[in-house]
Amino acid sequence: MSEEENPIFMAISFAKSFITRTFLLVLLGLTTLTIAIGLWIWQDVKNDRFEDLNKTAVFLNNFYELTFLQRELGLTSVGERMLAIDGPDQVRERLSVAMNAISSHTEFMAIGLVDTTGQLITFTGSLDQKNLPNLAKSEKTRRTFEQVKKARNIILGEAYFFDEISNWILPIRVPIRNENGQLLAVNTSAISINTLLTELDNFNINENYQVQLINEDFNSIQLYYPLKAGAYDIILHQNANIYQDYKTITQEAGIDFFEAYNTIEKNNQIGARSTSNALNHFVVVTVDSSILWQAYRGTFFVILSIYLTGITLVLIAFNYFAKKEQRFENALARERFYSESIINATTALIVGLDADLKCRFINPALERLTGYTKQDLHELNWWRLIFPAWWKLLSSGKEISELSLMLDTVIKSNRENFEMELITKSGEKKNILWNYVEIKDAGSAAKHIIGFGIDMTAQRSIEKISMEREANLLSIVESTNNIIGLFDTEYRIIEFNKAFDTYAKNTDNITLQKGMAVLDNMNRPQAALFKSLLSRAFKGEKISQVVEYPNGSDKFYFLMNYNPIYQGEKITGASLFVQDITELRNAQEALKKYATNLEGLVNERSQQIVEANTELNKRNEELSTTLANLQKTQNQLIQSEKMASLGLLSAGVAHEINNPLNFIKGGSNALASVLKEADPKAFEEAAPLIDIINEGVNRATAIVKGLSHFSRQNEAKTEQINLHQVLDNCLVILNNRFKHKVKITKNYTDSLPILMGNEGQLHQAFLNILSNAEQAIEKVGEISVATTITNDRIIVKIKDSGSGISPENLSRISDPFFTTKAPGEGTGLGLSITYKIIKDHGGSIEVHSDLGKGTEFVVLLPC
Amino acid sequence: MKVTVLYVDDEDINLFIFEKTFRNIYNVITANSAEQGLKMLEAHANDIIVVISDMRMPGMNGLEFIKVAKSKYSNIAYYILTAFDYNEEINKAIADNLINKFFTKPFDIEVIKNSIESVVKNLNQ
Repeated sequence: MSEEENPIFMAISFAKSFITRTFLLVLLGLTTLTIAIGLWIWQDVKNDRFEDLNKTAVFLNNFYELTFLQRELGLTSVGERMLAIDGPDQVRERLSVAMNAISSHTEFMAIGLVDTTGQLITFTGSLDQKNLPNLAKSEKTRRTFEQVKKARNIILGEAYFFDEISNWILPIRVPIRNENGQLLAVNTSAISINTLLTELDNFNINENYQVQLINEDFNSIQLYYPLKAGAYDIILHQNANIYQDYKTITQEAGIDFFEAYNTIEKNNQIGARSTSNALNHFVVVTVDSSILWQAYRGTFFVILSIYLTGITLVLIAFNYFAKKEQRFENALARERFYSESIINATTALIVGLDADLKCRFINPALERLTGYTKQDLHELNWWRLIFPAWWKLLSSGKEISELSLMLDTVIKSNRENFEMELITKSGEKKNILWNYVEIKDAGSAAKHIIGFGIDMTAQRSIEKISMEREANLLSIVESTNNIIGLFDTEYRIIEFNKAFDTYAKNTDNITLQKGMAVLDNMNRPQAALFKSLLSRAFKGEKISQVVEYPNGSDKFYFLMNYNPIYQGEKITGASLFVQDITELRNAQEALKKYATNLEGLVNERSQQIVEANTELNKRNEELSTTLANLQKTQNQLIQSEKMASLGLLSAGVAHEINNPLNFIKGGSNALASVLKEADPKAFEEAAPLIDIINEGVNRATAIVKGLSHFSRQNEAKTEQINLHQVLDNCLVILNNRFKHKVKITKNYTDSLPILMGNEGQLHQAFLNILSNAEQAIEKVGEISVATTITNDRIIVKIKDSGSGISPENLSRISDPFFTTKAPGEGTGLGLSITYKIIKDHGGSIEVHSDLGKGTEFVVLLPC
Repeated sequence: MKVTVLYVDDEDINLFIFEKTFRNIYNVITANSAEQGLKMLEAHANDIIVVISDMRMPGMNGLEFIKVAKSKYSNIAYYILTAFDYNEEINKAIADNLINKFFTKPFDIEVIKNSIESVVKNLNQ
């Protein structure tokens, strides 16, 4: 399963992004919210300010309008009155009117009249008279005049500070028209605005506000409040230019300034304006925009600190969750590392199948076993390549679903383990014990099948071999009519052959069963005897004893052999081997009985029938002869049995071979001498050939001679034996097997004493040891034969460089029938016979073996 | 003068080979049975110094023949040349001093030669 498909890892990455995303969203949300709230409050502050500015502007506009309309009314009436004067004293009278007006209105500083051409008609007041002509002619005055000519009513001039009277002066022009609206003249006056300013002061206008009264053409600021001496002109003109800019911009954009803007934001200034009033002016109230910040500052810092606190909390939370997640991830990674390591390192076979039984995953152990890679076994190749039998099912028309059903059944039927044979890439068959489990993917509810397998091939083959061995053993055990049984140390029978069972049934009506304490079921006095024999065998004793055993009214004679069973050093039980010698015994008994009976009969008859005595004696003799004949026949039988033995056979064969060998050897020698005399040159040429013939004969002779040593069938140990000859004979016999395989090293003592013993038996003993040594060498190796002498012993050391004997087998090599050779290759009797022979000669055998290095047999014989 | 040796064997080939082998050294007389051997002994009693006989023969075997011969001609040295390697009877014959030694087939010229030479040496002494 790849990482992308793994639901656990998908969950991790999802959670990871989820947490990160959540925190980013929270941060973003918090920031947005904070900015929104900040802006909202800012806007509120700003709106409040604008509202106040606007209110102020409207209020002041109304105030100005009211104030100046009153002045207009007065000035208009004064102007009209002055204009109405006609006559020679026109000038004086007009002046008088004006002076009256000034004196009756403390505000009026000067009053003049200008005709439609701009010529000053009348002027009076406390203003600088000197400047008046200039005033009338000045560009500024002229412009004002032009305005006035167009104006509906009052036109204000620009206020200025008149030093001489320490007063703020505001010039006022009022057009005077007839009923048709025709301009007749212009009243040009100046008023002191000190009172006005006092009134304005009383309004308690925000000290930061700057209030300007601006004309409709945006080119002149009439009044600036609060008034700042000195700086006044600069401010006035600066601002006038600003408003001019506004106008230009709005005109260019085709927007009516008055409609588009009732607020002003420019050059760090904000402001509001009133609508144009009856005076053709409007009021602009501005303030430094820093006032907003001053109002907002406190709120801003509160918001900022809340925001920062919030951010800090979020970050702390994020850190907490991220750490928690990291720990979770680390734990998962660790688990993943462990599980992956296990999957990679285990020798167990692991396969992952999906619900369609397509192979998705195999572990390295399975790769190694099958020789295929993951890619090879992908999807259905899994079945096709390594389970051809199942694949065949599929290709024979069965559908995947059926296969799935089969597997389902296997899984559900609680047969946790089942064995299947798979075929590896190299074509080997492997027995795999599978355990399939079904797992469900938590994320997708998809079904997966995980198979865990164990390679049982080696075990199966061991089982097979052990079964074969058991069968072989069984056939051996069952091939005899003798009783064979094995007991454990609890006196329970653990193995028995049919013969045993048959006897038990017939004598005691016991049906043998493995594990049965058979002696406890035997209701006979012999049971105690058998038990004691067994218990002796358990202590390591080898027992051979004849036991009478009742058989109905009759009885059996059993030759019972008990031998301990070793497992290593430990005795785990005892074997029982019983020969039924009843017939032999019966025959002997019968003979004895017969003889006794006969004697009695003879005596009886001799007493009873004296006259028949002679005849009886004669008969008696006849019977004796018969008995003698019988004995002779028996001896002959024994003799013939002996004759059948290999030894005697070889003796006969030896005689028959030696004669023709004599022909050859003698013939060739004779031939040589004939040739030597007749043709010395030809003899020289033939000499090697004759040598070859002689060599052949010598070898054959040695073999035959060697063989004949085994024919000594007598049991007597009275022969004078040269042990070196015995060893050499054995080496000659085995020469055929040693050739090209074994290098023989001999190291004989110079002072070998003559040994008394049985030559045939000793030959057999050393032949067995040497033969085993040869068999222990697999390919090539060495066998060394050495003899040494101590005070009372001849020591023969036979050492091979063969495979050696394992410690557990070493203790058993003297047991009869123990062999490590394949059935049929060895009887397991050889070494046990050797041990017996050496023991019978009063000697002993020591064996030292290193597994893989070789074995040394040390034979100690008394001399 | 050549030493005269009587060789008794029921197989003619053996007789032939023996004669061929030793005729240059010894004066070889052969007989193919114990009876024939006894006759030869009677005829050449004064010449024969060594008698070598096969063991297994029809009629009398080698030792039986030698027993009879030795009872008549005790100053002759008797030997058995046999295809058997070992035999209780022969052992006993050596122990009883009936024969000097026994040779085995196929025979070794030198061994036989040495034995005869030692006999001759004894005689000369």
